[in-house]
Amino acid sequence: MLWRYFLFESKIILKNRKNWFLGIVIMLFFPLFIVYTNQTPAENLRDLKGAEANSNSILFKSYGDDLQEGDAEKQAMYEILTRQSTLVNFQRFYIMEGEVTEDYVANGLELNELRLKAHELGYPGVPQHFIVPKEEILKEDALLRFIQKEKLELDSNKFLAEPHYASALALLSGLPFIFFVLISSSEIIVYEQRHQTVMSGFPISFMNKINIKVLIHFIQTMVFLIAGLLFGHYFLSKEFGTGYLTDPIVIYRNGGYEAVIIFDYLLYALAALAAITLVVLYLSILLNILFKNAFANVLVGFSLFLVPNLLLVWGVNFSVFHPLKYIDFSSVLSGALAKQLENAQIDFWYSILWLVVLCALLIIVLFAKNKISYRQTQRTLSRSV
Amino acid sequence: MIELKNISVAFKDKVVLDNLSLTANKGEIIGLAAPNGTGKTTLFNVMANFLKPTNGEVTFNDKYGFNTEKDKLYIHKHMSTFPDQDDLFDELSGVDHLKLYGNMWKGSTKHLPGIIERLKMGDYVKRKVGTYSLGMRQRLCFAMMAAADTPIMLMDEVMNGLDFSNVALISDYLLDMKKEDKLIFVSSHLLENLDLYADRVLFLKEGKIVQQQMLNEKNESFIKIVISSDEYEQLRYALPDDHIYIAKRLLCIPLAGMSIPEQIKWIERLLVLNDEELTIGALGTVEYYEKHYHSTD
Repeated sequence: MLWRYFLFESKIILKNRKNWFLGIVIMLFFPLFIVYTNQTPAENLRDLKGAEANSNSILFKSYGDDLQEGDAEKQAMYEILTRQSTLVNFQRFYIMEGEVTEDYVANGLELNELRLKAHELGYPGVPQHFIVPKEEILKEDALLRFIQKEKLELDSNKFLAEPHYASALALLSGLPFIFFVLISSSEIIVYEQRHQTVMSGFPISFMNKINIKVLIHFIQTMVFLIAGLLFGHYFLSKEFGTGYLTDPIVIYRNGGYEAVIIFDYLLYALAALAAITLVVLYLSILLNILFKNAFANVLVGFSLFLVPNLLLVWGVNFSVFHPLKYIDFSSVLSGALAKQLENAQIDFWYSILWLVVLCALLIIVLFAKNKISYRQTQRTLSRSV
Repeated sequence: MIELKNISVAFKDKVVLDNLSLTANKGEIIGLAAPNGTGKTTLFNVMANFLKPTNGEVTFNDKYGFNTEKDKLYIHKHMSTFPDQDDLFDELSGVDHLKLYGNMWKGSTKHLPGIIERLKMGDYVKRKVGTYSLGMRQRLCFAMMAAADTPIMLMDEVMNGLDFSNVALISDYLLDMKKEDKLIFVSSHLLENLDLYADRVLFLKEGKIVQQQMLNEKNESFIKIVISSDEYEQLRYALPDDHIYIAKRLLCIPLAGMSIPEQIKWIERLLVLNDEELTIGALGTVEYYEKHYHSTD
């Protein structure tokens, strides 16, 4: 019977034009984003290292003498910067010669070591805008170590595919995706009001009914997302070949940075999106029951996830609201959220754990609300008798 | 099979059902006759637990109430309610609706072709419901109940929007359902039609059952004659105390307790007033309806 109910609800959702429209938006989002970013000039390794060399050159011209003639600390800093400049120029040379891999990576690792050492020294005499942030150094270090370990071949145009998916997912991550799921599920229970006498007497328990509804909406959302990613993949593979999926991308994990291949990154993103979808769908069920209105579902649901952002803008950082921020999976994966919330524990698995906890809490609330509705009836009846 | 004990329902100050009690058993068709807004739908909603009563309880098979979800599910497995035709899914076909009800309650759709054929729905049932006329929709709603095939059926306004031939079709179907030992509650404004298949008709007024008309039992006979209000006023003080004057037109004088000469005397006296519209017999559902809802007494 549950299977038949599942099929019926599936049929209803397949006939829902609003959800098809939202699905098409999601499915087109990735290919359109990729086509758009392909048309904008992208920075390759050659450009990147060229910019670094320019920056070093300006630094030396403007502050080189001060550093050289300064105290011992400044002189040590000068030595480090000189070595850094040499390493960057060698990297540029390797890129131009086409002999990229081993020497380029070895120079890059040494460069990062020196930058970290400079951080330890406090970059004496160097203006802030010339300092590479520590997170960036650690990310690049993770990337280079991955290249070294996997013996990846590099060329000056490599790693251009990575920003497409990471940027597309970053744009979707957080409130935009929440908004999409909230609209898609805005009538998850409420639509039954229009078909009350047809739907209300089914011999199905409340929890079975809501779990089936959530499952159907979940499958639909994931199908749209996966279809969108596949369309995106089609356009990317036309541009870069299918090999880009094994290119590295850096994620934040266990308090540090490590590189994974893009395919794994997409799996992490999909897993996070799946967990977020479940949380929002159970929230929609609860809001539908409480407010019995599709607009209230979107408005209240969206506001709820907006609260931690507003509080942070006002300088209030309540840790109790942090789990609501884990919907921004892109920031979780990049480590930006861990930095923003000053909690080094916030990585992929930590956020997934909390999203599962949120989901479980919502299920418990729904279960309890249903149980209480029967108890209240009994109490009312016994009181009136 | 189903028992309602002291059911009261009040919306703010308005009492819709007032300490109403009722017992119904399998193999019965119970008609509900009352004007709109007198609590028929509320009574059905209480029986199906779509509405919690302010007071009282519903018991199914002497054991199950609506106190726990487990019990409620047990009752709902054995009970189906008549869908409102406005609540149907316009974008789905009639077959989709029938499959839904067949699967939800009977766990099968094998019996659906028989229902479709019997209710003569074959030529439109595969089309989207949005294209149906009122009568088609109403037949589909009834077919959904037949597809559910539950032991208890609550049918609110079952004959709404149906033409004469479809009323006859569904009346026959109801009689066959009764033979299958189903307990069926029917509310309908076609009062004469209720007499064809109902075992008893309940008249609701001010939240109470004011009368249960037993249609299968021998009922009291009356001399019934249509007379004007003026004629009634002239006769009024000479009439027996237990007479009824219904809807300012039908005078009913009970024969019970009268001797044969007395009965003849009253017939002769009344024939003078109207020799074409005098009958002798029990009051029908229409007459009781007029008595309770249009009577001046």
